[in-house]
Amino acid sequence: MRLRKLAAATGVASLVLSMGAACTENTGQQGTDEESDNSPRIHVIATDPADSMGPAPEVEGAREGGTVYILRETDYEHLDPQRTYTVAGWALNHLISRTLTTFREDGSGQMVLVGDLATTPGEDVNGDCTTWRFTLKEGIRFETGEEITASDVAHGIARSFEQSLDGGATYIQEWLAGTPDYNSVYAGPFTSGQPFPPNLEVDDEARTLTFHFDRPRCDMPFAAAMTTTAPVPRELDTGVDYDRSVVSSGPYRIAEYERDHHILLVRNEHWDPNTDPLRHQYPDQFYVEMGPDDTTATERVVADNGNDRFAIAEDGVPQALISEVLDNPDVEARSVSADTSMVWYLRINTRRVTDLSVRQAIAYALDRQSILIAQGGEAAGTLTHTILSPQTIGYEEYENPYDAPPTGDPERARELLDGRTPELVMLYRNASVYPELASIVEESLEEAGFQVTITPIEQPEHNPMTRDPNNPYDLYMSSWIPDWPSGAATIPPLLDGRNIGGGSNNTFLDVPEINEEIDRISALPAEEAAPEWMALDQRIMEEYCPMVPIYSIRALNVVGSGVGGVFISDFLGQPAYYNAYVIS
Amino acid sequence: MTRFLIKRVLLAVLTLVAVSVVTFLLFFAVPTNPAEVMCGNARSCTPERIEMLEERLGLNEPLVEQYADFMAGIFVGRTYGEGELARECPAPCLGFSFRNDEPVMDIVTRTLPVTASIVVGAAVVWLVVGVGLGMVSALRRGSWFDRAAITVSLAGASMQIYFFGLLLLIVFVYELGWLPNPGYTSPLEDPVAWVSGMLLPWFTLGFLNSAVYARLARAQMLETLSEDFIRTARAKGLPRRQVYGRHALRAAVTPIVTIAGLDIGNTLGGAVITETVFGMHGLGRTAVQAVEFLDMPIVMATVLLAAFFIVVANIVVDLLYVVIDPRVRLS
Repeated sequence: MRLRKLAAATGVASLVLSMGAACTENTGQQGTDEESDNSPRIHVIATDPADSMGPAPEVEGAREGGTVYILRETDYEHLDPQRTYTVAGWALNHLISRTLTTFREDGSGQMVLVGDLATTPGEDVNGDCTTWRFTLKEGIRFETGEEITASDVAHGIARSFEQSLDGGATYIQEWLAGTPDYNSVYAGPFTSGQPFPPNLEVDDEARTLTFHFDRPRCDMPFAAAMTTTAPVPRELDTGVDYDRSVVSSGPYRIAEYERDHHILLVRNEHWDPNTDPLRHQYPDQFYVEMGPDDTTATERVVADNGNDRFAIAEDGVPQALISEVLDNPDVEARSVSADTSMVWYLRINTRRVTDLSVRQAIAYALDRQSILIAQGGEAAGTLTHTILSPQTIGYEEYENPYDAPPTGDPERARELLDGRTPELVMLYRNASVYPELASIVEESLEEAGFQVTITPIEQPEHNPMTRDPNNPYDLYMSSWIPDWPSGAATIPPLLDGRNIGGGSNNTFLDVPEINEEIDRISALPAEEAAPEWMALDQRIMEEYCPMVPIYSIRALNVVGSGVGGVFISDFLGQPAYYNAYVIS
Repeated sequence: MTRFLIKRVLLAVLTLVAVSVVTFLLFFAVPTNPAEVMCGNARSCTPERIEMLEERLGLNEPLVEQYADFMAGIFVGRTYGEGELARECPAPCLGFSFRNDEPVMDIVTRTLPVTASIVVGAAVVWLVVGVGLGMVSALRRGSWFDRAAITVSLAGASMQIYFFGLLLLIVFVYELGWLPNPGYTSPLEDPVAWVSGMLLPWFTLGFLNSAVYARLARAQMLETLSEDFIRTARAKGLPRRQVYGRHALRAAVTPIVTIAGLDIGNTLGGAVITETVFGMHGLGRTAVQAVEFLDMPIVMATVLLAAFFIVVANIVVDLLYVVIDPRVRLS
């Protein structure tokens, strides 16, 4: 109810949060400087139901027709919405699958959580975040022409419980089941014979889905934007093979899908723009070409020949080509870039490095600048000192408690060490640029008096190893990209002591007061929780220093001269396509 | 001949079984659990979830049982899962990808034609150009043609596919726009698109390999030309064409056939770099990605296929010996 009450009280969007970072949108105005928007980012949850209704505002200069090409190296792991858990998969899913809620963006830095299938971003029925109700809009249809019902959405959620259909986000499953081992409570509609999971109330006549949770889940409006909530018609559900035969609810449908080769999306005639606050249907077709790696795709789009004039190099500009792109005014003008919510950290194993002053010395000594330069410099990211990414709702930069220059302050670190020369073992992935990064960490810490040993490990083994609480390493570099722009999607998974072992807390920080604070903030409505997460971020960094935030990644993609409307989505951290159009 | 073939086929089967056992054991000798790797990028990866994945992938079965099931699937097929979501995998069943549940047989039938297209075309280039250059160089030893051919072959042998391929792409596709972007189209669907999409990979791989073949062919031909039987043939007054074409060429080409057979067999197992440079999803690239993700069914399939090609190439080479060199008899 809180969201609705806010709507009644103000009638406008709430939760205005800001940051200062540039982002660019591909406006299709070739030969002129792209808009470089240095205005603050505004991330909000819509409280006015009108924000959740279509049609989406027209994109200036956009026209209908043509084909937009998306070049990428590999096929999607999954297109089945319940199994999609990659940003590229979500970007394509935006075109073919709708969800209960969604993030509406236009490339200007404004991101609004709106109802997509639902009329609003959700109703907190009891005002305590334990019961959430979503009412479906009328007149939304599948590509078959059938109207989408609450049962279709519920079936989508139900099938995500199936063991054979794993791979997607698991928030809603765990929350409905009340346990991370959600399969022990409900095994899915095919395996259990029960159409819907427990604690999910479905009313087709009223067009409502009501979720009952055993404790407050105030981030439900965000979780409902995951593709877990995409509708799937039970009678057309082909199980594991649904990956290739997704029944569209969005503006495009799959016309051809040849694995590892291409996907052709064509217009879905049954999509109604009046129900959709987000998407457009400008191009006749989207053609996803799989094969060219990031270098080849970038070179092709830079060359801008033939159909590549209408192409987007989705995998981004590789480090070696950054200067080729940015030093060429024509190419730079048709590239899109923005900071993403993905942050790299040097994680400190607090079970091994137990002395706070040693961890603080690491924070002072680390040469973050050289790490960023090794990744491509300013074009590749922006230095940060906060755990939460600047894209997070409620983000307010606080003063760096370890106020060293970007290249580190070995003197200050030495003072903290007070003559000690601690031995540290750093684990790094034996791939790509990681060996170079490990050497930078080693050198900068040794300059401050540490004795550092760096140890390689094969890439697939890195995460399982660092998740092991008994691992023999003190330091490792890991990134984190939250599933939605709320502190709840970063701090609990990374720093809640109860997530040690199975979760992503590989610093193994386990402080009862912090865990309690996480519980307290998690029970607050999103708008109240936002500043509290920020304050907790600062407290953790000042009092415990379990990690050293290094930089947030900046996405950079080149777009052909014949495509407009492409921008880097704050939610995805990669190009979004729903505003794309072909320039005549 | 029949006896020879039966012996070689039996040996080939034994080799393939040995390769499959070693691959399987090596895969499980890696300390990391594939279920943990699959779970590794998830937000939470609880022991329950890992157990669930192991069960779904069949990794909780004893190793011998897993191997037996895999091998049995090749001959009699398998059924995966239960109830409404059960999936039939007809023989020859190579299982389903751990990563995206796609039938491995589908992946093989999709990627093999890509690699085969690259290899067959490139092999024609390197055999015709490489062997041709080498032979003519040998016959015109010391001439300007010989020196030019040696220079070109040296340059070719010292270049790398990723450099040469990228160079050709930049010049002929991106800058001049004379050729379309390389890509695979089935020759049955559109032969012209197949050829135009394959031209650069053929030329790149063919040219670089032809350098090696030119040097090999030249050396073999020179050695053969200094043999006694060639001197005898000349002394008997045989025409030049007959001496070179019938006697010298057949003798010189035997070791080239051996190398070419193994090269073709080996490259059919995956022309990884060529596939990567030209953005094609062939067997080689698929194998590399499978190793990266510890996708065991695909690793098994690609390793077995690569071994199969080598084994078959060896048999074919042995048979060709008989045709080329009358001194060789099968026993």
